[in-house]
Amino acid sequence: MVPLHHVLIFTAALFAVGLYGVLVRRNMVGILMSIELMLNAANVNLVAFSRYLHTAQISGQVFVVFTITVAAAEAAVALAIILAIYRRRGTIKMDEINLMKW
Amino acid sequence: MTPQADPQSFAAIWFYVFAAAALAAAVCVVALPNIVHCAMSLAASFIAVAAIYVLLDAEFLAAVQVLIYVGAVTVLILFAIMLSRKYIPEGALRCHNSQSIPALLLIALFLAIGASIVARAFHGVAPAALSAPADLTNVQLIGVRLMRLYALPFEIASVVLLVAMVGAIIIARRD
Repeated sequence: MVPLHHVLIFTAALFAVGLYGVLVRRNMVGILMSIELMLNAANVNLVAFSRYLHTAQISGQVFVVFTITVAAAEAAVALAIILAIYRRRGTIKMDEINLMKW
Repeated sequence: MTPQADPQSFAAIWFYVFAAAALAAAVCVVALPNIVHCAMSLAASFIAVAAIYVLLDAEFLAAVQVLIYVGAVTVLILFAIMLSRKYIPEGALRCHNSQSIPALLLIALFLAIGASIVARAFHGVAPAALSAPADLTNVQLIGVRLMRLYALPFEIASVVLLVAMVGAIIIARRD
């Protein structure tokens, strides 16, 4: 197997790509997809630490089960919010939704 | 007589292949102008990450990843794209805001610092031998953990899912 720091560098790169998407995307659905990428990177980190450091207790894998649950709930609620905003404002472009901007 | 190929090095090669695939698909997710292509790249990235779970001896999570992320979340995102699509010519619209270059520089800095810290702190940590009891599979181990030590978080997760379901219906319904 590869050494642990190769896995960690891979997840850091995946997280950075997702972060870039969150910062520069204008489409709300695109931002949501980038957030899912970042969550995936964190999950791989948890599984890798569980595999390399505490193999007998697979707490890291159990934690990933909970993370996936919360991520699914987050995706459902976020897409409902996107649909509601689209109905009301007719757009899902991030820089046209500026009602709360001072 | 040719020497037998080492299965460990095969696993390492597959790890690099799937890691490169996941990263390439992720770059497509954030860079492609067409949002439907982005959703398809996202599914590809999820599948590559599921293969990495298999290489890390987490078979149950690999199955869950394919079922929930590829099966449910991607389809949900495609539905949201479908329901919020305006009829505008493809490619005529900027899909990124004006902060792309600063964001790219900042994230390259973040990645360099993070990678150097990680490489120094965890250099050369080899995987421990699998010490789980041989008669319990990965799925059984996770099930025992969920029912004993993590029973309370397990129940709370079901409440979270129920609340999210009701909330999504209420937010998205027509007034």
